[in-house]
Amino acid sequence: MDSKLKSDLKSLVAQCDRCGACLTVCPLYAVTAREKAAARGKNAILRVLLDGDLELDAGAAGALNYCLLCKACVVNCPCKVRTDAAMIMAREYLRQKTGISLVNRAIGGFMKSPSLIGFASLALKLGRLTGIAAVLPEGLIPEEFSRKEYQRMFSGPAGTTPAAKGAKTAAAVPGRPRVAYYQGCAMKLFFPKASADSVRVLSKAGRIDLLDNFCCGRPHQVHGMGGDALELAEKNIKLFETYDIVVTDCASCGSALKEYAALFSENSEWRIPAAVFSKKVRGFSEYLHQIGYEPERQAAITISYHDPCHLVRSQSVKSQPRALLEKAGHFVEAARADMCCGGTGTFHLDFPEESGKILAAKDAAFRQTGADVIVTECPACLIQLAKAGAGGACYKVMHISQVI
Amino acid sequence: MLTPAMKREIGEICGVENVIDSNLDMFTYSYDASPLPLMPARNPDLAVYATSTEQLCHLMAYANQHRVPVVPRGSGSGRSGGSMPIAGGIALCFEKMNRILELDEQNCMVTVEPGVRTFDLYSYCAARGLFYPPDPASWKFCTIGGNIAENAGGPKAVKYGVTRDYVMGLTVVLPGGQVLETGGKAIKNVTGYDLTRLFVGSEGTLGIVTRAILRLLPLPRAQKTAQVMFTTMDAACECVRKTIRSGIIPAAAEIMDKVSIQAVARLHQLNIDAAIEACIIYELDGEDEHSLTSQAEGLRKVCQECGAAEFRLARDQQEAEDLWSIRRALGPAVATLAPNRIGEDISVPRSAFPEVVKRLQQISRKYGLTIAIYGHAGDGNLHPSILTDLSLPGAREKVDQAVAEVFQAALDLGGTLSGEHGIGLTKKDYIVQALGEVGVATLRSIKAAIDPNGIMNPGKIFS
Repeated sequence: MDSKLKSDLKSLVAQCDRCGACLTVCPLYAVTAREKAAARGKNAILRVLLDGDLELDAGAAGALNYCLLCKACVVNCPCKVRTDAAMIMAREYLRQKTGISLVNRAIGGFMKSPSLIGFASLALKLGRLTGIAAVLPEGLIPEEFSRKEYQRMFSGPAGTTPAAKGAKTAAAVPGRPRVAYYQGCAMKLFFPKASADSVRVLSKAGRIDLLDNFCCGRPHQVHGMGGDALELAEKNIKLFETYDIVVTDCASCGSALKEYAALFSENSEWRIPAAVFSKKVRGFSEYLHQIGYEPERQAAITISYHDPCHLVRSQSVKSQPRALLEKAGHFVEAARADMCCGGTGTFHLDFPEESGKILAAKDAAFRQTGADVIVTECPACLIQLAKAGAGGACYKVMHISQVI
Repeated sequence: MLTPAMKREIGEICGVENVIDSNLDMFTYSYDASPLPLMPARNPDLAVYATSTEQLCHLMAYANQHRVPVVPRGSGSGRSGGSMPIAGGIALCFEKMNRILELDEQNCMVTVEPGVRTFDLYSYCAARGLFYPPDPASWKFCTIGGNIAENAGGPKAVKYGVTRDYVMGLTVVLPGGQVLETGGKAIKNVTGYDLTRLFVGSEGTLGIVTRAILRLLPLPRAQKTAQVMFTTMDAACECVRKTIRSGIIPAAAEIMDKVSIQAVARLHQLNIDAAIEACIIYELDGEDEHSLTSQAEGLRKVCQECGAAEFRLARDQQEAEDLWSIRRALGPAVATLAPNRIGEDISVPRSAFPEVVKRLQQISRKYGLTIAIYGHAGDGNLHPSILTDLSLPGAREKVDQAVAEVFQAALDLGGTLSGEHGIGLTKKDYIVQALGEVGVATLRSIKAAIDPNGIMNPGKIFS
């Protein structure tokens, strides 16, 4: 048993003053009205669990897994209790104490090796062709709209304004920063077209290199396999050593990569390389906005945006995608755009009912905007949101790279 | 202890979807925001979602017949243990009774269910040019039901009073299941005892409020917030007194001592001069900018006369809101300084404020305990927070003695144990000292008359 993990965890949850501020912002509390769903409940459970006053049974373990890790409570907390970090550490603690469930092990192993991902990606394509997709969990294969389809749908001759011309060159300029694209597993697996669009948009601003990168480690971390996450992090840090900027179009990967610095903060060998690496990482819209990218055309459509938790709260990227979208169409802000969609990680598979209720609230807000397209910057959100909007009848759900 | 058969029967009465009883859930209804330890947990046997007055009539009739304790619980944000189900029984939750039932603009009154959050009510009214003033620090998440049960106050009490001053009438389900209607929309009402006021602040020990008629004011059109720094606590206290004497009634006058200021600075990464011993946040409100500007000028003058080290008016709404969010988060901010925070809630006549602060500082020195002092200087209600590590040997005893002296200081100066948090569990040992034998006997006889079987939130306020 890692006693440091336990003491770190203890001091983290001891910061909770039990004031109840988290109740108003927790999406799970909103749909369940259960104290144990909110951060205060989870922190209290964890506290007595660590003190040995509560038996570690399936119920207690379940409560610690019953979290979107959306950080809504963290940013709202007067004591700044990092409940998401506590839940991730608690899962590690649970794994050390009880061993990991087979399901989690399977997910973890699956995400770990790049060659396996490649294989799975192929299997998924085959699945689409042969119809064996039906055996995969519901909702895992979303309908994907490509940029081309988008333009066909919304950018008829009357609906377009001329694109800004001549502002960008594709040639690499000497002395210019070396930029690499980091492809997340979920983008590769589920949204290859959107991923290709990201690369295309990025290429317009200059040379962009594609590497055979490793999983960011987030899935392992949230499933209590922090050791595996560290291994992957080391590999990624090495891989991108010669690059100045690493851009990813996956909010979750971006936040995980930016957190490498904190992950290795007490590791004398990796502390500095990790800090250097994390500084290189940019979210897709964060990067484009920074370099002054202009969308190709302003389509005569209404666009609204969903903030991925891992972008808006983990990386404080909020204004950049909006600034881009305002130039790509008629932008309308949705109510509570920054509320989690309930699609995080495998939560939507583990708890479909709650996930569905949270999604219904988002769906209602999107419909209010009258938007034709709901845009986001995270594959997990895309998978989840694609289930809303009457399956595309009310609005299409797309990655930001496909509309700018 | 409820038997499985009784749980089933309650499920039939309340609807099975409104009843939960898993061990883990029960643990999460065992605590509130008071500093009482989580363990040993005193879990309820059952948590029930209240859905209507009618449902609660049936539930209470059953509970009364079978002597089942019932403990109402809003957001569990109380600081005195008022919603902790120490005798087991039913934790009664109000998430499903959270509707604003009626806005009566002609009479400037609103009728609400108890589960409505205070801030939601404030915002609803403000959007219509109306004003519900009581603003406890927890207003974003606490509920009106809890505010009524504890007679919650807040910074605005200095000018606008407390929850009690806005409750016009209540619908209450009594322990036997009967429905009591008190008060109403008539402003003048001397028909019988003032039962409305009896239930406000009764801490859930007499009945269950299921509906409240609340009085509203026109929303002040303009506000200004000022932050004033002092190099002595005395000067700050004097400033509040002089401000009010000068004819400026601030909408709020919040004071914080050096420990509190530095706690905020630490959490928000601010750099505040170590010479600063006290800070006051003033809020002024009024009908228009003109009256506000002259008030602000007057305030600046008074502050200067009192030797303020710094006087800063918030430039815009955002800056004012930032100042207030810091003030509202002060309790939790102070709590991060030590493993345990024992926050008290004494209230003294405004004139005794400087003296009570001095005595608190003496107590702090005597016991070698850090005490952060902050509170509502405008109305004499302050929150000394003792910071300690209760896991250290002897710490508990030392804190208990210090707390007893804090209460004694308040009582000696003509004050009382609690300004706005209620007595609950944390202060009930001192109730006789505060009210006298006759006072407590009177409370007991009222309790016995309304709740003869003692099922409503047993063990609170007095033993």
